[in-house]
Amino acid sequence: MAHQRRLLPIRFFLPLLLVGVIATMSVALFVGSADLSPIKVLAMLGQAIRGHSTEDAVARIILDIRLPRIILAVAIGGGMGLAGLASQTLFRNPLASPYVLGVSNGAAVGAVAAMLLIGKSLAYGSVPAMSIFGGCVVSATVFAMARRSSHFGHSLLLAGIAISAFCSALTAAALYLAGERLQSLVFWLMGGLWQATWRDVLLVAPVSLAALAGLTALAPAMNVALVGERSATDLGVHMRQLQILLLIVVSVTTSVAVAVSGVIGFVGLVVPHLLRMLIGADHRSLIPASATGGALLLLVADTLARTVAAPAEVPVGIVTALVGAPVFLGLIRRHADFGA
Amino acid sequence: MILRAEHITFAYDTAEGVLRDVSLKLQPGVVTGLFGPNGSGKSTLLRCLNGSLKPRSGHVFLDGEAIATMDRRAVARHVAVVPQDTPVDIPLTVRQVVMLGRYAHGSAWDQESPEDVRIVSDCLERLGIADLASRLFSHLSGGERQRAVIARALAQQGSVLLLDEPNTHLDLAHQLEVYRLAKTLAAEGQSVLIICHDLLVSPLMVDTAEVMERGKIVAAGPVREVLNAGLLSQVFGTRASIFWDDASRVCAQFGN
Repeated sequence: MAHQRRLLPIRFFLPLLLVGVIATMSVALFVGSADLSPIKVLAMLGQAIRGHSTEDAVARIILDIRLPRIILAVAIGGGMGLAGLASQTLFRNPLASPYVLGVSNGAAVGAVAAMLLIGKSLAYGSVPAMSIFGGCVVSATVFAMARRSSHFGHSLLLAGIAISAFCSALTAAALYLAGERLQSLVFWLMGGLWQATWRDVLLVAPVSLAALAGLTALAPAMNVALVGERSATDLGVHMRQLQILLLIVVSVTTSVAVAVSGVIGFVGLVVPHLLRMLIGADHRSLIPASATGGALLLLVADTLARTVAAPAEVPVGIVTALVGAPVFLGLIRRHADFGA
Repeated sequence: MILRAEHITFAYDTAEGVLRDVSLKLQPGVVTGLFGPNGSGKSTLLRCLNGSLKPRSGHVFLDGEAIATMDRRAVARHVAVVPQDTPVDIPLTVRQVVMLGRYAHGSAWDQESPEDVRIVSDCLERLGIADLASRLFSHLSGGERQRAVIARALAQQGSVLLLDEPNTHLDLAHQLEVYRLAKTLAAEGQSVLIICHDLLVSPLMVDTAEVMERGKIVAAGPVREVLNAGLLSQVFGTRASIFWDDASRVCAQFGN
């Protein structure tokens, strides 16, 4: 039947995504600007697992550079997939992302301010702290502006767009005044994971896991929210409560990600949208799939970013869009009549 | 269950009062028709009745319990609403949309139970849309969508059903079906309120009528007594008369 929807069953698709993530993680461990043979890497890992001291260069590259970077890519990608899904449900708009809320740009303003005023080398915590502060100030402002409106979702979107533009202007002004630090700031703003450390992993991973658990608990209410604010209220959802919780998930997850990796576009927008086309809009499937899909996309993109032009780095934001956009366009063509 | 509104007033922001001292009682076994011209406050009253709008003063009670103090889920377990408009762009299948009616009965972590699946299938069957179950909601015609939304309200298995102009998108046969369904549900013990626009079919299908004009209920009682020529002309601002022939026939005369 023409209108019958053919979807991939989640019980096959989710394991497939997981296998994809694990396989990519394994490959990513073996590739990089330092040419290490897989045998060397495996031998070193074996030693590390047996508890032998591994102080040589190979161990440092694997354990202190590649492994935290790989895990950070998974954590940030997963978190961005979830933040994108949460904002799309919050606005009932498949084209929404943390950007339209202004959170990404707010976090970026915080981080840029920290770098210019305090200097990044001063203390590890200053940039993430200012970035999270910036993101949360923006979402609190957006929320305060929209709070009294009877069309909360729409007001939130409009306030977000305005504040996002304001924050972009602040960032642009900061860049204008940055002087000799302009290049490093621009590179940071493009987004990248080249400075990944275990401390970053410890900051991001718990937040992403908490977002996954929180959204999983909200999945049935998020399904109901698809029918619009009024009907969802009639069906028993406390919409204002749900909207606030989703706003918190989007703000915190995005601010933390921006804090350690700069502004990486596209993942939050494209992953949930793409998965909705493939597996349908039921959040009970879409939430784990968006987390896994986001992790996979960012991991693939980051692995390409550090290998295609090795030893140079390509900002990963460029790769996510270059890899993601054609895939996305192809899917839109195939599933055009399904929309979202 | 008895749903009772007592002296409700409501206003949007600074606008003139939309509801002014409205009292109303919906009883099990009775289909109540709510009549009135556009903008008289019918839909606002309906939204106050299920607690999704908070009145400025006055209270709504469900079997004696103030609805304002009840949890949204608890309200939805007892009071179901068929809204006037539903967004078209819902990216779910018809079965999934009807399943949303079961939200109030589940816990946050629940998958739907076999009981939920059975209830949803029954509701789809009852509205004659079982064959559309796996279609996308956005691909349905206006009438099919409306029946899916009514099925969703039935899936809530409440004891009060509030329908806001349910017949807007329906052809005559389906309009009659909705009214018959309302009568059946009332016979099963539900309290039913229907906001009615037409004065030809609905007077035959409801038991009692409440008539609103500019935020006030101006007449209430058995439908044959209430919907008389004088009141209709006054409320709708045009000449309109209804002549009752016998229990199953009504003639109407509009204008001059």
